[in-house]
Amino acid sequence: MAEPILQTERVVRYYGGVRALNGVDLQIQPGVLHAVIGPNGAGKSTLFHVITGRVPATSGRIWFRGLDITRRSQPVIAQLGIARSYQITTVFPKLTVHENVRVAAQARVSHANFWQPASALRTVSERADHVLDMVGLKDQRRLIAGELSHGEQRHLDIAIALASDPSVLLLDEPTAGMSPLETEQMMYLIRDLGRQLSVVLVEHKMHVVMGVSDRITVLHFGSVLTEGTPEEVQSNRRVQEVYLEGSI
Amino acid sequence: MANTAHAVPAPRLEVDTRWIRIRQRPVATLAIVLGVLILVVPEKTLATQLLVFGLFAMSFNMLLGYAGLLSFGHSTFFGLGAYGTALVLKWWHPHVLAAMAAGLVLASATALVIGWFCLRRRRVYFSMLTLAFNQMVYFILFQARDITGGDDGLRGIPLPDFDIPFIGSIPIEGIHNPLSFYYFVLIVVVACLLAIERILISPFGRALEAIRESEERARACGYNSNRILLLAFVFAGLFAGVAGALYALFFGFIGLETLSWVTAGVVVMMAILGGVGTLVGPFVGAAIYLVLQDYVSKYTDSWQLYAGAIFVVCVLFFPQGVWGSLTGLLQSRWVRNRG
Amino acid sequence: MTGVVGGLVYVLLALGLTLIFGLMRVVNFAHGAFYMLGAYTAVVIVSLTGNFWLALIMVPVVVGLGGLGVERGLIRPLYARSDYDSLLLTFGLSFVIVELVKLGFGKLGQPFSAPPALSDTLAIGSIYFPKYLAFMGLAAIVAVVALWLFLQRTDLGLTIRAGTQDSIMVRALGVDFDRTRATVFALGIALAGLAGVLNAPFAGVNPDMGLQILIFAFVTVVVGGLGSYWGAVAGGLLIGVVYSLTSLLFPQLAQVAVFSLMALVLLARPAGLLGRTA
Repeated sequence: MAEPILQTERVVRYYGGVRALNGVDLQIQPGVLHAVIGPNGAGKSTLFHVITGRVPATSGRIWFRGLDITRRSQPVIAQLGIARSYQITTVFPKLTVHENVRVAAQARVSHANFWQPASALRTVSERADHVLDMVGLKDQRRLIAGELSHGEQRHLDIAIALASDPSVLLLDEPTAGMSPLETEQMMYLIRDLGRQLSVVLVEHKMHVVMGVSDRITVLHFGSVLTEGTPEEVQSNRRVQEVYLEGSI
Repeated sequence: MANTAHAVPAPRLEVDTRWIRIRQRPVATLAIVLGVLILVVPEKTLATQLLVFGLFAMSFNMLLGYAGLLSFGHSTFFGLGAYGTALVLKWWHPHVLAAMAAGLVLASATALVIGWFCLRRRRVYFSMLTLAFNQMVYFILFQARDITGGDDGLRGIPLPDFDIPFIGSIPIEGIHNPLSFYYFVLIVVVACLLAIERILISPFGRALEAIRESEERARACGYNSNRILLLAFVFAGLFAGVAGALYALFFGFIGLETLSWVTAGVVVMMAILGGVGTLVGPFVGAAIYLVLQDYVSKYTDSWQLYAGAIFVVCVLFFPQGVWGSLTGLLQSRWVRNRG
Repeated sequence: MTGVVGGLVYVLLALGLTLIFGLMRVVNFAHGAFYMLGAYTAVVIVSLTGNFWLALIMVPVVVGLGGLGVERGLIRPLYARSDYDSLLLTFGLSFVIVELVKLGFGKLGQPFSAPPALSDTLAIGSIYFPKYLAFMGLAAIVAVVALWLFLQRTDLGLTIRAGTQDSIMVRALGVDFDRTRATVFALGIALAGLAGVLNAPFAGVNPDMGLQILIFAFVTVVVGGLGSYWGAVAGGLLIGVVYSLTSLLFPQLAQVAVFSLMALVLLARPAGLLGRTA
């Protein structure tokens, strides 16, 4: 078994008096599309916040490519190659679609450069075009981000995460608020991405999870309930109990 | 991925390339307009003030329009630029540019320190902090009467000629040579604007705008937002310092009002009146305020009341400012006409 | 002693600021201007009736009503917009108010003295201090406690506290949130006016008194934590004492001392001593 590219070890996170994460062990293998599921309040978004350094873990450790990133800041972790998309769409509203992605792609290339025009960074702009093509927003590149439809914005959200050419991509409920048709299209994109990088997917829609994942971790009240292939998880009795809807 | 546009798509706000190309020469346009201004306007002092305060307002605009930081203490750096320049001129009689450099350095260094503290917070907390630090500096300078002259101000600033090595010197002293002083100020201001423009279109400038739009997302992309914002704060302080240095050369005396909260408030008003987020807006705002000050004060002592009232109306109904509303109107008409 | 009482003035102002910010997310830059208006209203009432006590009671009411009008006309349209907009608006408003007062009363100050009943000094043991100071302190403490009880024990107080935590929820429960906001704003303004009339015999009455004290009120909320009730109280007292002590010992450094304290708090605890994270 290869070294996991991303690993959490007994990660705990308190929010006030509540244990949002209660000792989570997670191993993401390189090139695998690994889903994290669980009922509402199971701590899925918190897990992403902690991994990306947005909030500190109360205890436990996080490893990325063998490097301990537990206490690193959010920008540093992003520079190392972990990117995420957001459950509540977070883009740069007044910038154009192209600029949204371009400035994201620029982050790992140039920092305090204040004397050269940004347009001189050819590779960055080309990367932005390539990513927009990947997510299907090529025709919208000149539009203002805030004016896009909800579905387009969700795609832009992911494009921003992809722009920096990450090794690990964390997708936080990418199909949130999407119609069945849009969800179908998003599944194509997710599968495509899963073939190119390591992806961690948090999702509510079971058919999406089952349709794209290689492995699944089930969280319940901040702890890991079980982990395995989609078939294993589907047939797990405890998982079925926890999911009262039984819509697996 | 299919673009699901149908027969008659709703008009979407697109960025018109032609408009951008025109707008991409703001500095050149400004330079030309301001270059002839002194020749057509009877009040030479007013025109020169427009240059100085326009630059000051532009430096403020870097913070508000581009970094998304509302500072209520920006006069700190204007005043320090003025005092730094004035004191160096008084003590050492160096070349004019050297004295200005001293003022500029003083302003920037202070901006580094104050910025570091104020950027511990964001949004309205940041604003309150900038005001508090401004008052702190004001009181320190007030107490240091021996150096700054305190309440009475600093008088007798020598205004030397501008020495060009191997060529000679040009008198730029403002009172007797208003025209050459104006063009000296114009050259400095245009140089600053070119620098500012360059900074804003650089990768740093783009990162700054991203942070303004969503600091969270920018950080998640890998930008160290604190450092970038601090650098922006220092730049803004630097150019405010240059404006202050020019102000010191104006009349041969300066007072503590250059760093007062009133001046800090004035620059806020100028920037908002004109419109933030553009290179021309601050100059429009400065022009409006200065003209108001000059003309209305002839009729009433409380012209500031009217300025304040207009400002309130602006905040309520024209948040884009005069220039911003004008260009917004023109831009949407342009887009609509393209079908 | 002077420090504590002076601090209590900052407390009253900081409480008003905190209340308004906590519920409405509005930083009221005009808070100092209303403090000043309170003092001037007292001047007017006293010059008309000769009665300080009447002024003391009427000023918060009059100023509070003014606050209602301001909230209705100027601030309400801005709730949907960014937090900067209301800050900018109240900033412009403060300019306008100060200029109007200068127009009506002139640029120099007005005399205002304590009521004759309180003009002499009190002796406790071997320490003498002005009776008025003691009264001022007492009045301020009563106001702080009364406000606390109001927030804790009444229905409206409960709504306000809930609204500070989660305004969406409160609205969903059918409460007239507009009215709550208007009330809170008026309340905060009334507190500012009260501070103005209380402090008038002590600190004087002039058009610029508002801005000077606003800075310290801002420092108070930064030190204590914007949004925290007891943070405002603790912050105000701390600032008052620090200012008073340094005024005694190193008079030239008094202001700098207060700002240095603020810088220190910023270094150690950016959210303020008792503040929640922004």
